[in-house]
Amino acid sequence: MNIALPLVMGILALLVLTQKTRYFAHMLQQNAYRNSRYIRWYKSYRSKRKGMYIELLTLAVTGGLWSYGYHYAAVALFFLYSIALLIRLTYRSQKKPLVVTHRVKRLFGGITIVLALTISLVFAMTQNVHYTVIAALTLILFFPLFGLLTNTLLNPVEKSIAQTYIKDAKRILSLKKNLTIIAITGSYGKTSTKHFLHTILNQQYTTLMTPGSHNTTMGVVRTIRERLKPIHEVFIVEMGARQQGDVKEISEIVHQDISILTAIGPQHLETFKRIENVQKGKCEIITYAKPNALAVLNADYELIGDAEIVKNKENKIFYSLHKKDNGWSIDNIAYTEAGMSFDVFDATGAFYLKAHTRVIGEYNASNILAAIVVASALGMKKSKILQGIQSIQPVKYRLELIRRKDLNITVINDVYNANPKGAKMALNVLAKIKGQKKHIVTPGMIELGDQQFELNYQFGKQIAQVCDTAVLVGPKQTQPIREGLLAEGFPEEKIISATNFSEALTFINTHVEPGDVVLYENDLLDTYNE
Amino acid sequence: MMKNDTTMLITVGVIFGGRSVEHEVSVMTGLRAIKNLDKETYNIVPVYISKEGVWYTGDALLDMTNYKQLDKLLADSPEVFMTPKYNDNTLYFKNYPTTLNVDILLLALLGATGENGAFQGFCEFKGIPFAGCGTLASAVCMDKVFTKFLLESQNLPFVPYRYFYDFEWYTEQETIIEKIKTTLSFPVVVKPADQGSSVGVTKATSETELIEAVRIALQFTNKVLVDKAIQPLKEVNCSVMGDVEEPKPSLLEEPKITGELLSYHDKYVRGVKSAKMNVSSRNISRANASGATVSDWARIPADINETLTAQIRECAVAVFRTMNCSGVVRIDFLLDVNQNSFYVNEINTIPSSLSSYIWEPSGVAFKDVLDKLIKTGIKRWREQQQHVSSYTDFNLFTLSSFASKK
Repeated sequence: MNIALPLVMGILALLVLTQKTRYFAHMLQQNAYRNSRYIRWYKSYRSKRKGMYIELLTLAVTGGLWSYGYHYAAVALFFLYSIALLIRLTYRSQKKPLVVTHRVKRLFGGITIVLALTISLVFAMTQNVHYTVIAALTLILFFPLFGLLTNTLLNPVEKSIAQTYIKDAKRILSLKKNLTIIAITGSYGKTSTKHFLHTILNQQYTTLMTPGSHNTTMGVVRTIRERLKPIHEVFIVEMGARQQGDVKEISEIVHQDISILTAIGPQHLETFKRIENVQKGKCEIITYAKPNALAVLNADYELIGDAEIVKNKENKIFYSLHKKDNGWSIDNIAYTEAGMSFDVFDATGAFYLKAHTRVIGEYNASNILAAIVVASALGMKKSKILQGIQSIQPVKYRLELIRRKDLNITVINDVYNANPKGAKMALNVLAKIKGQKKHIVTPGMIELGDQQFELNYQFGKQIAQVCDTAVLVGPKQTQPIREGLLAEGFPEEKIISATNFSEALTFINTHVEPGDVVLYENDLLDTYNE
Repeated sequence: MMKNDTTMLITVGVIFGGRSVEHEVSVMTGLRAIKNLDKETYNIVPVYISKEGVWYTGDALLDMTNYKQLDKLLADSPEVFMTPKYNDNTLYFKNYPTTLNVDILLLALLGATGENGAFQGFCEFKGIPFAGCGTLASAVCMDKVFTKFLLESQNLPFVPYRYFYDFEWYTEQETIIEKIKTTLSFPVVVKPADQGSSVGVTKATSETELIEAVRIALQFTNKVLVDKAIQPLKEVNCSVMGDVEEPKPSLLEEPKITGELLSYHDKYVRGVKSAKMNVSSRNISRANASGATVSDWARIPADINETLTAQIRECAVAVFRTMNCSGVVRIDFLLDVNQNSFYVNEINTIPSSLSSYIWEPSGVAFKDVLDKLIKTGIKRWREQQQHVSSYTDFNLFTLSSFASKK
């Protein structure tokens, strides 16, 4: 046998491995570089993808053909496999593409070294090209395993690099005089609250907020190192929490002067396991704030009011959608064509202001209230606060009210939302808003742990109360919603099944009538749409 | 890239000098500002723009005596530049791999393109915060004819005038003179319409003098303004600080030296160059202003009655708002002593010495004037940032594919 065939195999294997590495890095990035989260995603992904078995079979057959001497057939099959993989990975839908960070580069380097070492080792030990080819095929087959191994090996390196950055961020904060730091966490509403607070405070103070979804420790550190300038007077930090210790870690860097806790609910149960852990995890924002920092707390969540740390907290202000004994509250929420209006009452129960805003939904009113409470605590003038409320822009894809003039319909875009409470609120707005027929487009909700079925089933039941048509994206995934709908006697012919979002949109574009209202509820990150 | 890592103080780039007849006054103003900025709050980077338009920085620029030997000073000071790139607040050194980060620019560039909106436009284009009036306010205040258009639209008082372009003067000179005679009558004051300083400003009492005055004015511009001369005249100035939301008027200044309205004879006899020296002498006094000497050349508050003072201050605020000013400006008024009436003469968006000599007797220290100036600049930048936000995450080119697949 000449050397050309193994060489061709080797080149093809290299191509495949490069693609695999890139894909692995992408998915690992979306799972926050955590092996546990990657594995959990991988399991759910594997169950959905029949292509994986074809891949397994193809590689096994290739290996078999090679072992039994059918080299040309093996090369041909492997070539076809490489092309198929290349096409699939190139043309897959990517909502959040891979961001080639330094960390990704290190991961690439690490994987290259691990793979090169493994193959060299096999070759050195066996002195046999055939075994080496088989080894390469095995590597491809069990690729994620090697990726995860590399990730584990790189962990100490990543940790020490992270520590250097964290130290630098702390140093910058220590140099900065007169900076008020406000931290926000919560199961729901933290991103909206961050935006609203930023808009209001920016009327009077030069305010920086952590951008986009930079709500992890390293995201916050990066914001401090790259964006925090001497001119900033207020820094708003969104703190994401997927497990206990997340909020603590960020709080210990920024030492916030004000902590806002917007909600505690059954979010990220797959990582938190139990709701009590969610409560503990979120309350870290109070425990690890600056001594005697102000806590601004949503009284509408029992899990907040009932927490020991909250009960013992001295410097705190509650806010609520309903009139309560103590704390700020809201009344008279009304929807107009321009958006929403509501009255705000301060902690003494006295009328404070009437808010007019383009954003809609009860929970947004609650988020704006949280921002008003903080603005008032910072001593902002009421006129400035009112100006700020007026300036609030709807957060893109979060209960965003859009007039589609081409079809003469109203669209409520809520595709970023992924939780039962938010979905219920969106339906509530859909029910209250003026319009002819009401339609919903949704792929349902995920990451709800053992409540996955039940909550989606309930969601189906709620949809039945409000909507005339339900377009369900992903037949298998939305099965619980369908059952919920049917349980409420929703006509089966009004349930439209779509395999993907574009199919659903095509249906809407061709079936709505002037005056209708369409709600786009929930969208899923790349990893779950596979 | 080197960062100003050692400090989280706000770094103020103070820019002075520039390609303007008021170059020297600008240097004095810039250096006084640097001296008076609160060092506890601000970290200062001096930036000198030479008469050739080259930018320099360095500590040598801080000592005014060094400017006598300009060649040596510029050889000792590193050349720097900024790029037009948005959100790039870096001052790059031309001959060294060094950079400085600047948080805000304080413009002490009196006259010409430093004051007429051109430099302000550069700042707005690159998105760097800067202290003082914005592009539009700077531009309309620099052109005295545009200023009058806007004053007229808001029923604010201005001196009766006529204006014309150079080509009109060369073709319809007699008609123009006739109109000036009938609508304004002599004496008149002839000015270049769009020059900040008093350069080229001449008083004319006859047709011959008018023709000569226009000739002088046309050396500086292609647009000539002819104002009716107010007699008997008193000059009064009012500085306004803040922004349109919260403007604050100063006490009134009454200059004792009248340098501006030199007669045609003075200029004709002494020549344009010496006239230039003469008209800037008052600004030089202002730029050098220290408490002890102010009384030699200005009376603060002005010697006029309370009612008129109140009216003028109110008018100053109205002018400030109409022009959408920001920072610290000085609005110059002309008073008809007999009629007890007043007119807005001109608006200086970068007044010499940033009007500190008026603000000190008004109870505001120079340090606080500068602080307000910088805070107002940051506020405007913040508001602009808020308004330009929505186009970055939206690409119209992707729209057609939205309905298919992202």
